[in-house]
Parts: sequence; structure tokens; C-alpha cells
Amino acid sequence: MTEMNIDTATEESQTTDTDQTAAETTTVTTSGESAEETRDAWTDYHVTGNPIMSAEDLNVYYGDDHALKDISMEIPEKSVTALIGPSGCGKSTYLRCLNRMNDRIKAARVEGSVEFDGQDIYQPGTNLVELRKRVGMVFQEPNPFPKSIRDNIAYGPRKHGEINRGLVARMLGRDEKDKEDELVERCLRQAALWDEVKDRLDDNALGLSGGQQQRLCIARALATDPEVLLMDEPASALDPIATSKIEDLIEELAEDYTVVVVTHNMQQAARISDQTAVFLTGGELVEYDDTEKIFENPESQRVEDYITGKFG
Amino acid sequence: MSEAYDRKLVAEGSSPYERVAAGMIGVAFLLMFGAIVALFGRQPVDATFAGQPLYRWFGLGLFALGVSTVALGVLSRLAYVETSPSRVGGLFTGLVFGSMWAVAAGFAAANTLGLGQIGWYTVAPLVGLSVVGFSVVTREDLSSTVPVGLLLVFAGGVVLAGLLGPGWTWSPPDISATFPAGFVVPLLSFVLTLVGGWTAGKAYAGFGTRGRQTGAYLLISLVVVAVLAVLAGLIAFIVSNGLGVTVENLSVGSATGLLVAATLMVALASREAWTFEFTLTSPLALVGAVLRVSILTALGLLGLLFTGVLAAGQSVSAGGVTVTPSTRIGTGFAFLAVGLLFVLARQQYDGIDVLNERDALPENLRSGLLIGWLALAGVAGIGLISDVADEPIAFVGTTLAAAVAVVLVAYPLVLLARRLAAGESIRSAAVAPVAELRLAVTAGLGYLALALWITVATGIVAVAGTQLGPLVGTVALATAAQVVAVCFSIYAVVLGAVHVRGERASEAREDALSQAQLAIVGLTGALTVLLAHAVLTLNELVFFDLVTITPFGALDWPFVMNVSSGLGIQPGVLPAIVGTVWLVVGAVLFAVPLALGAAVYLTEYAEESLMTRVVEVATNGLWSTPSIVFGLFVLAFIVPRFGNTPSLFAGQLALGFMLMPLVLITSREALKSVPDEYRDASAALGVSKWETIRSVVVPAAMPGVITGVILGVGRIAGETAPILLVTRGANFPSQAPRVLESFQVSTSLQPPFLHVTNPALIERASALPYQVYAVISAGVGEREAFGWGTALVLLAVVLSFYAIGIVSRRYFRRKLDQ
Repeated sequence: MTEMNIDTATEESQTTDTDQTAAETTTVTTSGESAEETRDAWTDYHVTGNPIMSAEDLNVYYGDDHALKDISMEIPEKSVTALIGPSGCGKSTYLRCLNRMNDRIKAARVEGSVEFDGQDIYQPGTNLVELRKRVGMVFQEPNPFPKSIRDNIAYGPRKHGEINRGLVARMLGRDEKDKEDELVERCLRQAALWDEVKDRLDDNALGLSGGQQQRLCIARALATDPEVLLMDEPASALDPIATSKIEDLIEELAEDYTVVVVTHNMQQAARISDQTAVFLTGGELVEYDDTEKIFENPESQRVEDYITGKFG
Repeated sequence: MSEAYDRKLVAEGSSPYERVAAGMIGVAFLLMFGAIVALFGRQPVDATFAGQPLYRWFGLGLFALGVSTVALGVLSRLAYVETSPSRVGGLFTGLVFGSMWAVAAGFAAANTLGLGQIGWYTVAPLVGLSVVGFSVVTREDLSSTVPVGLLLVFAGGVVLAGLLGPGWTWSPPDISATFPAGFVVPLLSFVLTLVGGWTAGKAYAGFGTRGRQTGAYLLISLVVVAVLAVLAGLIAFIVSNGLGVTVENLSVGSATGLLVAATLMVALASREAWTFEFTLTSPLALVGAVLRVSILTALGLLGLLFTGVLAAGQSVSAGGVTVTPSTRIGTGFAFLAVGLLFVLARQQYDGIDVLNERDALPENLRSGLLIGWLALAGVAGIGLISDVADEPIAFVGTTLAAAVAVVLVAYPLVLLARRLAAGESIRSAAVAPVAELRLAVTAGLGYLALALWITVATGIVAVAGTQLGPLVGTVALATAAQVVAVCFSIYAVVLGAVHVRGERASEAREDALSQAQLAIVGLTGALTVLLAHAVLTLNELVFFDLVTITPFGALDWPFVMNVSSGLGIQPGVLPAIVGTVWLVVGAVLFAVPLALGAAVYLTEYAEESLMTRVVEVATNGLWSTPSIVFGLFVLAFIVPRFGNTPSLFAGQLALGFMLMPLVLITSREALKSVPDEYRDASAALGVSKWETIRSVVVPAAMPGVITGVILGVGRIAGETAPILLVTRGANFPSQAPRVLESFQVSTSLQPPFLHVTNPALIERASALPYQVYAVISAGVGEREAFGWGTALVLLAVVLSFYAIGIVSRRYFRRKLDQ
């Protein structure tokens, strides 16, 4: 009898062990999600074609706060990549790493590397001007300069010397006004704003509505002819109609530019993006895959909980 | 315990209660106004006004206010009217009334009842405390009205009964000052009516929350009105005392006056708001409309006056001002008129950018003209400096330049004539030669100016043009050609614009108007070049024997334009005015770039650290430093190094040191208030930090910076102490500092190879505040009105600096948010 008991006990304990290894641990993280090991396979998205930007073991610290943990992901070109996740999970931080805007925050420390066009942008001696010309950014709140619409768009090219409107040039008649007009029209058409403002290009940009201002900011970012366009929650400050215009715009832009969009609106991510990366609290990248896969059949339980609204 | 009130939501009309309260408010305003006038006008307290001495009116007003206040409170308490007071009166009002009653009771006890100090120590606190207790215990409507009302009654009664009447003085035992009734009664009325008006406001709105709100609003309005009245009174005081001496012996030439009046009228009338917009939506709009109409009418009447005098050929004078039928116009006024015309043309026609698009002139021609200009100027310049063959070079240079100007101007006219001869309508013929007209105007002006400059720079035209018949002729021809061409094109274009019809009407009209604007710009440019020539050569220009343009002498305003010709004779403050202007200009040029640069560094580049905090504390300390300390500093360190004499330059530095902290502080605030979003957006576009600061941050902060400069200039323009120490010129200087003429450029073979000096800056000079001081210290020998006149001129000079600042600030504001 005793032998059998021992045997049963051993069997039972064996079964329990197997259950434990196969099932998720029952510990709960501070935000209420059940923690699971992040599988590397879930974030290893194979990019078809040319990965125009890729991050390798990227870690960002704000003082002592570890904001981004070991992010490695590749961004394919000429498509829309969405970064989603709850507030404070580091998606905007990651976005700002891509054009080194985190340098402007004194408490931020970046470790790891980000490659753009085959070169690490965090190596010393990087030409930030060139980088930010080729990797443009659009912010959450529309922030046009208090200048005319024309001056807003031509600001970047003028400062970079591509359009010469100086006094001497004007006196000699070598004024590049035609070039500038052409640039302004092209950018405004690309941003789907030309028809609305073509008669008032010299009016102050602050007189436009919120949606128009945001499209102006997109046009301004396009004026430097970037390859990558980073957008930090571009439509979150806008009403639904303006939002849908911005979303249509993003889809159009993806034919010529690589677009990376941070959004906390999951339906928006599902609508517009080709691939989606899910960040969760604590700055970890949990899953990165084609958008359909993420939204219909995610690997990670946490991601599924987030998407179905169980938390976040 | 809540007592049920029958509160209606909407009151039907105004009850008698409200009307009484409103009447009380009106009486309070009147009394306040009267008190201020009495204080300023120094009317004796027994001057009669409608049959009664003034003090009786004050007393009556106070008494009436008091009675009605008490009545309002009692009526409310006895529930004869619907009001909504709170359960208890506030402690604040209790304290205010308590202290007022304490003071009044103390006075009464100490002086009238002869109890002296004991009266103060016993009666005052007793009365005060009981009033406070009363206020706290009773309901709000009683506690806020009865103490005040009784005090008003008390004060009014005392004044009416003559106890506080004329002949009453108060000499407090410890101070050697006496306060006459003429001062005390208005002051008392002022303070008491302020409180009474406050209470009336509360009563009007039925006490409670609404009442307190209305009361507070009324109190603030009363105080604001009082402050404005004091300010207006001060200015009126200065003007009334100083105007007489300022316009003494002023004589205005009719032609000059007509030019000024006509230009102002055209400028004002061309603004729609002045002639067509009369929306009378509010009392303020009505006042504005009345003001505008009266200004236009006054200008029109002046114009009529000047025309009449010109026609009659007789002088007219009144109150020290004479209008003479002189046909001379000073270049200064002509410049003003021309400038105004230019600004109007730019504003009314939206810019000549329309013409830019159709400019088909080859670049070679443009570059060639520019190179030709530079070559001529260079050759002439070399000839001047090297002192070789002055006259021949001047002759050749001027002729060439003038010839090119004539050709440039003639070309579009020739084109126009050919098109007209070919049978085209005026409209299409005039609009066609766009590029050529633009070249004619701009390049032609350049060559004309060059021709004139050469004649001036060689110093040859200084003598009334006798030696240089041919040169003057060439230049005159070029000028005439310019003017004629431009006038003709204006005519053609306007004619064309008027008759345009059809589909492309608006576009063609825009074209035509743009060209007209270009033509006006050219006309004003040509006139400006002519006037500049007159100024530089000190020659007269006579037009058709009718009008003369002279560099000087069109307006004779002795007070402002002459030096003082000794004690007692014609006073004049020109040296002081010039001194003040140069002091302010020098201080601004010195302080603003430094302060703006420091502010940019502190805000954009430096991190918040001990250093920046120390700099902030030091700047605030500098700003609070008395001005005489700056004067001493400059006297000790700067003056010995610059000729060891008081000088204009030292004064500029002293005032500049005073200006710097304020501009630094306001610029920092302005820069900090530029939102970070702009900097982020600029950085994201790859623009370097300095470029961002230069093109986005500083322009956005300019209105704030200019505000700081305006405030600072207002302070330093009136500072006397530093000027006393480091600039002190003669009390009544015999000539104004001639800074512009005294610039000397010399070359030498030893370093530094180029010397720029200005002896006028190292001389003593006077300034307006200093002049006022000089007049006062001259004492009996000089008229007191001289001082007032100087003060008036100082006020006018400071206001004109403000005007410049405000106009430039408006310009920047409009660029930022059109």
C-alpha cells in the first residue's frame, strides 16, 4: 500500500511539474498583467526587402529609470510600421531614438545602436543635420512656426541652403523663388492641404484649424525630402474627421516614404499599418509582426489581453 | 435658521430701492471727481459753486450719502425690500469700518473734546472694537451699511456745520506741518465716498454674494477712474502751465502747414475705420467715433485756414502763434509727406509681387546694370580718395550715371508710345511693359542717386551750382525724366484700371494697381532722392516759381529750435532736446544688443546652475540701484579715460548701464515664454541651434523685448542724476551737440589703420531733465514757465520714443500672428 502511495505521489508531483513548465507563472506584474517570458521569436520579425532602420539592443535610461529594455527591431522601407502600447511603455522614447531627439533631454542616456542606411547613428561624429534631414518627425501637438505657411514649409530647405532667397541673390535676379514655389506646392499637395490654402500661402500658419496645422507640419517635414517619417501620435489631438484625413494621408505617404507611427489607438493601428510592434509597460517590446497576425492571432497572452481590452 | 425669502429669479424692472442705490453711486462718483479737481486745482474750500461755498457741497454730499446708506440697510433689514444678505457680516468689512471709526473717534476725542493723548488711547479702541463687534453680530445688510452711513453722516454734518470749514487747520503736535481744510476736506470726501460707493454697489445688487461681487467691481472701477483722473490731471497740469511758453513766437508757414495737414488728412481718410466705420455698438465706440470725426474736422479746418492765409497773403496770429503766407517747405516735412505716401501705397496695393511673376528680363541685363553701377561708384570713389582729377571724374561719372538713368526711364515710355501708335488700347499698352517699368523705376533710381551722390561727395555743388552748369543740367534732366515717366505710367495705368471689364477684369485690375503702386514707389523714391540732395547740398529747389523746398527755415518754433538767448529773453531748449535724443540713442545702441545677447545665452545655452541664479540676483540688484550710483561709477571709471571731462559719451554709457538690467530681465522672460515646441520642431528639421534661435526664437520674443526697451527708455530719458554727474553741460548752452557732422575718418600708416572719431561725443551736453533742473536752480532770474515748458517738451519726447517702440512692436506682433 505504502509503495503504491509513494508511486502515486511521485506521479502526481511529476504531473504538477510538467504543468508548471507548460503553463504561465502565476505571479502578477505591477500593472496587473500576468508576466510571461518574452520570447525572442515573437519580436524577431523577418523583414522582406530592405530594413531601412534597425535597432540593436537599445536601452534608454532616464536617470535611474530604465525606460527601454533591450529593444531590437528592424523597420522595413516604404511601409507603415505602428508602435502601440499603453501609456508610459516607451514607444515615444523609442521613436525619439530613431532621430536622436532624445539627445535634447538631459537626463536621457542611450545604450545600444540604431542603424540607418547601414550606419550606426549613435557613433560619435554622426552628422545630426543630415540625419534629421533624412529622418523627419511630426509631433503630437501641431506646432507650426508663427510665420506664414510658405515660410513654414520653406524653412528647412532655406536653412539647409537648398533654396537661396538672400538679399544679394534677389538683387542679382538669381532669386530662387520659382524653386521655392514649386517645393511649397509639391509638399502641400503631398500633405493633401494644397486646395485649402493655395490662396493664402502668405497668411500666418497659426490661423489654420488643428487638422490643417497638423497637415502643415507633415508638409513641413516632407520639405526636406526625408526617407523616413516618424509620427508621434499625429492624430490624437484632432477630431475624428481630421483624424481620418491624416490616416488616408499616411497610407498615401507609405508609397514613397517609410512611416513609423506611434499610436495609442489600436483601431487606427489596425487600419493603417503593415506591421505592428507592441510595447508593454516597463519598456519591453513584446511582439512585432504583421498587423493581421498581431490583431487576429497574437502569440503572447499579454498582447492579446491588451488588444482585447482586458487591461491598458 | 433659514428665513424664507420670496426670491424671484428675474427681477421685474428696477425697484425704487435699486434706483436709490444707483443714485448713491452717481453721487459718489461726482464727489470723487470733485475731490480730485479740488485737490489738483487747489480751489479754496470756500470758493462758491452755484451759490454755496464748495465745502458745503462736500458736506451735503457726504451727509446725503450717509443717510441713504443707513436707509438702504435698515429697509433691507426690516424686509421692506427683497435682498439676499448673508447671515453675518464679514470680519473684513468690520475691521475696515472699525478702524475708520476708531480714527474718527480718536480725532474727535483728542482735538475737539480736548482729551489729548488719553482720548486716543481710550476712546479710539473702544469705538473701534464696538463697531467691529456690531459688524460681526448683525446681519450683513445692517453691518455693511450702518457703520459707514453713520460715519458719512457724522463727517458730512461736521463739514456742513462749519466745524471743518475754511480757516480750519490741523497742526499735529509732533510734526511741523499744517494741514489746511482745503486739503483735508477733499481728501476726506475722496476716502469716504470710495467706501460709500462700495457699499452702494453692494446694496444695489441686494447684498450677499451678488452684492459683494458688484461692490468689488464698483470699488475697482472707482479706484481705476481715480488713478486715470490723477494721471490726466497731472498731464493737464503740465500742459496748461507749459504750453504758453512753448508756443511763444511760433510761426508756421502756410505751405508747410498745408502740406502737413493735407498729408495727415489723406492718410487718416484712407483708412476705412476713420471714414466709413461708425458702428455705434457701445458707449466706447461712440466716444471713438466722435474723436475720429473731430480730428478729421480739425485737420480740415486747419487746411482751410492755411489755404486762406496763402490766398490772402496776410499773416494771422493768436495766442503767441503766427501763421505766415510763406511758400517755403522744409525738407523734413517733405520727407514725412513722401514717406507717408509710400507707406500708404504699400498698404493699399497688396505688393508688387504680382509683377515679379511676369518678369522676363534676362539675368544678364540685371547683372550688367548692377556691375555698371558698382564700377561707376568705385571709380568715382577711388578718384575722390586719391585726390586725383576730382572734377573730370565727377563730370564723367555724373554724366554717365544720369545718362543711364534717362535711358532706363525712357525705354518703357518708348515701348508704350510704340504700342499706342500701333493702335493698342491704353489699358493693354500700359500693363504690358511690366519688367521694363520695374527696371526703370528701381535701376533708374539707383543711377540717379549715384549721379547726385557724386556731385555731393566731390563737394563741388556746395556753392549754389554756379560752377557746374552742365552737371546740374544732366542731373535735372535725369530727375525730370524719372518723375515724368512715373507720373505718366500712373496716369496710363489708372486710366486702364478704371475701364477694365470682362472675365479677366479682376486680374487685370490687380495688375494695374500693382503697377500703379510701383509707379508711386518710384515717384516717392525720386522725390526722396531730390530731397536728400537738397539736404546734403544745402541748396534750395524751386518748383515752377510757386513752391520752394529748403533745407531749413520753413517753420519757426523758437522754443524747440533755438538755443536759449540768455536769461529772460526767448527761452529755447534745442540743445537739451538734441542731447536727450543722443543720450537715449546711444544708451539703446549700447545696452540692447548686449542685454539681448546675454539673455539669449542665459536662456538657451547656459544650464540652470548657481551661475545663472547669481546672474539673476545681480541683475535684479542692478535694476534697483539708484541712478546716482551709476553716475558715480561712470564718473570714477569712464570719465578719466575719455578726456577727463564730462561728456555725452559718458552719459550714454551711464544710461546704457541703467537700461541693461531691465532689457535683460524682460528679454529673458520673453525668450522663456517662447514655447519649446518651436525649438523641437526646428531641431527635428535638422536646423542647428543658433539658426533656430536666430530665425524662430528671437523673432517670436521680439514684442517682449521691445516692451522692455520701451519701459527702459521711459525711465532713462527722464533721469537727471547721472547727467548731473557725467554730462553736465552749461545751464543754458549756446549750441546743440553736432554729432552727425562730427564723424571723422582718418587713415594712417600705423595701426590701427583706420580711425573713426567723433569729438562731439566727448563734449559736455545738456539734456531735458537737466535743463529743468537748471531752470529751477536759476531761481528768480528765470521764469517758472520755462521749467514747465521744458517738462512738457520732455513729456513729448518720451511719448515719441514710446510711439516708435509701439509701432515697431506692432509690426513684429503682426508678423507673428496676422
